[in-house]
Amino acid sequence: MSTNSPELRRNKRVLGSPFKSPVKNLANIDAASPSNDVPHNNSNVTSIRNDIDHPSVKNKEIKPILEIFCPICKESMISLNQLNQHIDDEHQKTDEQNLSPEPPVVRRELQIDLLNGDKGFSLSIDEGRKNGNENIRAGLKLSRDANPLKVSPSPSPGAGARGSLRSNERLSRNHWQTPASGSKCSIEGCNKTLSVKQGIVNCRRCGKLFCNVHTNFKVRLRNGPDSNSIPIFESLKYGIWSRVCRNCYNDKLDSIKIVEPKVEDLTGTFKRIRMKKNEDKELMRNKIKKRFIKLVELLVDEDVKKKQRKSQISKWNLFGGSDTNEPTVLEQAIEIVGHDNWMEDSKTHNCTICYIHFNMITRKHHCRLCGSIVCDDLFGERKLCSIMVPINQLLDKLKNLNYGANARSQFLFLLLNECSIRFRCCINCKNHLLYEWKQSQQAKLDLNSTDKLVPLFETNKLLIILKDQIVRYMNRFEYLFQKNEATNGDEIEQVREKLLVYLKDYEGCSNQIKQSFYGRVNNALKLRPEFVDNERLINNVYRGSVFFLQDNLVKFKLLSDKLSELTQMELEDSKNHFAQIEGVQISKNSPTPIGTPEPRLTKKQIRELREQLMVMNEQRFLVENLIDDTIKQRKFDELGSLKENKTELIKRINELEKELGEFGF
Amino acid sequence: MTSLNQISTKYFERLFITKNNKSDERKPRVLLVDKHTTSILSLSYTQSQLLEHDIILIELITNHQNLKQMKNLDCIVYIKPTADSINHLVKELSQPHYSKYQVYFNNIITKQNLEKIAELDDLEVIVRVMELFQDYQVINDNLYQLENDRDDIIDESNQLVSLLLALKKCPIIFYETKLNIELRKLGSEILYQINLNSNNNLFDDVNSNLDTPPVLLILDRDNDPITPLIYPWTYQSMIHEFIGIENNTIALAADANGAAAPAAVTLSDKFYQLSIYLNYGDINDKFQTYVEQYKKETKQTSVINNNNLQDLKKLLTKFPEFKKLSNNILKHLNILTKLDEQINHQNLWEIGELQQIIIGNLENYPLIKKKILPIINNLRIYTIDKVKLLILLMVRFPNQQNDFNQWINQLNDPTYTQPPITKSQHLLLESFKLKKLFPHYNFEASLSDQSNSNEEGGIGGGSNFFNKAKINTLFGGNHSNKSENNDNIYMQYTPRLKSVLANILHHQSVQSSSQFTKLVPDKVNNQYGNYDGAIKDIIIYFKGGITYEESRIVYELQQKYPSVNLIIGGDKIINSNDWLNILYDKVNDLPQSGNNNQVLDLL
Ligand SMILES: [Zn+2]
Ligand SMILES: [Zn+2]
Ligand SMILES: [Zn+2]
Ligand SMILES: [Zn+2]
Ligand SMILES: [Zn+2]
Repeated sequence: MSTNSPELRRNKRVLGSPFKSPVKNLANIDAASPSNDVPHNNSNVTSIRNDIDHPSVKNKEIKPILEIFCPICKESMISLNQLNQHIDDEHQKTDEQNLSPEPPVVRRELQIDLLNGDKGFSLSIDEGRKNGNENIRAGLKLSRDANPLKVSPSPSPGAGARGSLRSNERLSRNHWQTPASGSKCSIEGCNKTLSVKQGIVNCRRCGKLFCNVHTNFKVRLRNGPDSNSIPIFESLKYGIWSRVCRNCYNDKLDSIKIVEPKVEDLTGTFKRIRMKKNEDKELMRNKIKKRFIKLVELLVDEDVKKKQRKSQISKWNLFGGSDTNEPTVLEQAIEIVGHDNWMEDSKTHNCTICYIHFNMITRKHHCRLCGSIVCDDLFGERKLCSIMVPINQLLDKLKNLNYGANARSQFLFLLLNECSIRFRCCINCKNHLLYEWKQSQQAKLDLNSTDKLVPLFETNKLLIILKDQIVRYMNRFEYLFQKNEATNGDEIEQVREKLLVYLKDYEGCSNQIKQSFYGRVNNALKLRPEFVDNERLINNVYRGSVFFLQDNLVKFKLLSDKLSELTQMELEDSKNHFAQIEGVQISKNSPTPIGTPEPRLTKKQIRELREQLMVMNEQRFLVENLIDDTIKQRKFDELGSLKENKTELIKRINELEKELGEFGF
Repeated sequence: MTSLNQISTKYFERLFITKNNKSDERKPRVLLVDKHTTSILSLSYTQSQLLEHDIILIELITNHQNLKQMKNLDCIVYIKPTADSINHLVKELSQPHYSKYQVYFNNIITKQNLEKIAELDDLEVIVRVMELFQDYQVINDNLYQLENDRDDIIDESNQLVSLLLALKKCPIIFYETKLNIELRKLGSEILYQINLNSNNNLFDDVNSNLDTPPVLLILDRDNDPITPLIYPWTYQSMIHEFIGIENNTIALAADANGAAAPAAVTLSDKFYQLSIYLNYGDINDKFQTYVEQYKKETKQTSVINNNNLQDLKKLLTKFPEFKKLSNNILKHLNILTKLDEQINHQNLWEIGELQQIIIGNLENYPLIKKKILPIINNLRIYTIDKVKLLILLMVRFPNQQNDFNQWINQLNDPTYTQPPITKSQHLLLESFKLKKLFPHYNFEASLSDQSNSNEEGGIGGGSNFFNKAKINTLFGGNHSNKSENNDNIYMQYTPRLKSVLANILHHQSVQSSSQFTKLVPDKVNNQYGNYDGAIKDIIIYFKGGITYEESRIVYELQQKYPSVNLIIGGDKIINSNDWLNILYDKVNDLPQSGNNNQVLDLL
């Protein structure tokens, strides 16, 4: 960790310094201990949340922190401390390696780079990129929508110093195979004996010997991590174009093939922004709530006083002078909102919310909670910018706030009586006030909304669980089958049984959907009328389950049949055992008891044919539904072939029923 | 080899396959899309694929106010980050209908928009936000198409940038210079986008294993106005020419036996995939084999009817496959019947051969003239085919003005031509005759090889940017204009694209020809320096329309050079009718000069 010269170490830190002028802060940083050197920065990090009300503080102190990046891999750091640790952990080794051959020269190179804040000396470019860097992106993305025709790109983190460091280097030849008389080309099937005429060429990568033809390929290489390793592919410009064999060239081509197309996960960035915004909103909501409480107190108090005055006025008519009180209330209201927030009439010409221009008809109003100047939009012609709200409507929804003494004493009276106390409130403040209330309403609504479909979703949940099981056991079944052509003893049989049970259960769920949501009309399945407004959804769920069942039944049957063929060739008694299990299955699953079996069909065959029949019937239903759909939607997609399908299916069903005779119920 | 389908598959996994192993926590899902992603999704994925992954409803996000509240469902949002779609998304978020939301964008979303969404996600229903880069439609494995509803160059370049990101490639940009301001604007816009987003680290992990910088080649349809007019003779091209492919579906008129209405048929089956590049002869052979195979298997069915239970079971397990197979056979039978009809109605065996003879200069002018005359005078030949032939003659033998005038007259004469040419067609012919429409277009220069051409074809003056000898060696030393299918008279012509690409691949550079302007993103500069070597990765963008024939050319080149990566696309995929309509618009927009008074007199 500390093998580097102190000078170098210091320079690294300077490079990572968030301050505009590195020299100024040099001593400051140097003086600190390496493990915990910049405590003031750390304290800033923790104070971000507390200082949120003071934008000035936020801008000055926090911004630089967000700008700390590792100069090598560009990973973002919260603090210089972390950066130092990071450089030690992540980059020390590679640095050393790189520096060791020619220390003095390299140091000078590095110093140049270090002073030039733009340039990196990326060694492990790939490593750095893997870590991704949301902070950088988040910051810079702001400029994405900037004027697109002015191109002023700053140099992207490239391989500046690296190239000059490495370009003169020779590729290692330690691993080269030495030619002997009679050496042959290492390409399989080439068989050429190497000669001056055929060529005796070492592949620059694998080092083996090849003929001319099979080394007619060029790729860019650089030396591996140590002197014993073979050169590695290096596509950057300091990679040396080198002659390689066909095998190595193919390796290279493989490495280019796209494995994963690009994906940018913005979830972290998004959640961070959202958290910040929600915190701001939460603060705002609390602020508005506090003001509301004060305002209610003021208005209720005023109301009480007014009533008292009224009764006084009727008695002392001559002294009637309520005029002096009016401005006081307004002043008090402004006090609650805060003079800074109370927008000035003279400077405002448009509604803060809908931007309509004020005139004689559209008048200015101050929202008593935020102080914004808004228009009155009682009838929702614009954005419902503001209305005079009767306070009892709000009180009713905000019963649990910590109201003042006046409000509390009048609370029930206010709620139960026609309310004359109103105040101007803008739509934003109303939303802030009622945020929690709305959420609770929403939650109540959620509970009630999907009643009718609850059974569908419950069943679908089961379907999903069963589906996972079926897929898992099916894979296992196939795997066991391929692994061992002969019977694989107990396990494959167990898997087979489990699979059968799950398939049956799945079928059961699927049928349940059919029975709960569909009815028979003219011998065709029809969605029950009470569900028609969710027709697409229900059809899709059912259709999906039938598709899945079909696919897997077919697959299961194929494997199962093969398995029983194999078992038949095995011991006779194991076959008997097998048949017993089949018998159990039938009696468990067939709704009607089996009558006298005809000799020409075994129980197993009956079961299988019945399964086929079931599949066919499902299919028929499905196709009929599809036909209905297409006709209804006038899409006529594949209508012809659908009808044809139906005919074929019916034919097949008839055949099967004939085959089964009395068992074809 | 880069595979666009493979990329689509990977994105499908990203979008719809949940990595959550606990199946009891998984909910069925609703997919909210916009009109942009709808067409992208429908081209690459089927509805049963979606059903398989518990997507039980697909809704348009514009429809959000009509959705039903269903908190038992989760939601996947997949939209293009346009202002419109994002507005709908935030409205949905303010009153969410579903439980949790995973939000995917098919291109780069701006910071402002991301903030806007975060701002309005009060209820914190979003659990994931991701950018995929899929702002283009995948038509074939090597062919993409952009969406160009609007004439919006920024959107166009954004779409191309999304393709580059999906491919993880940051290219040198070359655009054709010839006076087309649109191409220059597009080129600079892409350069800007790349540089800007390189600063945002978006291009950091691209080109990571490429020894040579990729190239984005922006070509101008106007520099080859001929190719779309030549009748194609390979399956996909022919379907587009005679039936018309839209979003990988075709509208087939009802067959004689009377299915009620025309049905839209999707082209995505395996037989189609394997046949798109086959020529007309081969596709018919292949179809025969296909039918034979089906017959063979269905014959086993009749055996089964004789109560062989074991076989019956086998058949039944195969039944769904049979069903698919027979549907498919029917579909392609319908298509091939339709193609055959068109070929016969339009006398295309004759017309097509004549087109090839003219453009390939396979016979001298007097001989060609002898063949043309009975066609021009034949009332049964379609007017449109006469127009196309005349245009070809005009670019190939520009000196035969007298003949052209006479033939134009005959095309105007109802006793020879029914119906006579329209005013637009007339204007078009006059413009081609006088070289007014594409004054810079030079057929000679655009031909891949004219070693066989005689003076009559000479226009002269064009800059030959490619080396004939080299192309000859490159394409196996065929003499004359013949392509690989040199035994097939109907496929003699090779589009200009082929010589452009051959030139680049062989010359190992693009900028040596004056025809292209080069733009190098900083990222490429940093990675490769002032690179001037071999080119192994070409992404072609054809502005003004691309033909399926050209995508086939790219496919063939790709087969020939497996170590090179070729992808092609355009703003639209055109057939001859589309192109003629574009040309009519162009001539009608031309300033009317003295010569056109003559035209009007003739009318
Ligand atoms: Zn680092
Ligand atoms: Zn090798
Ligand atoms: Zn060899
Ligand atoms: Zn307003
Ligand atoms: Zn307010």
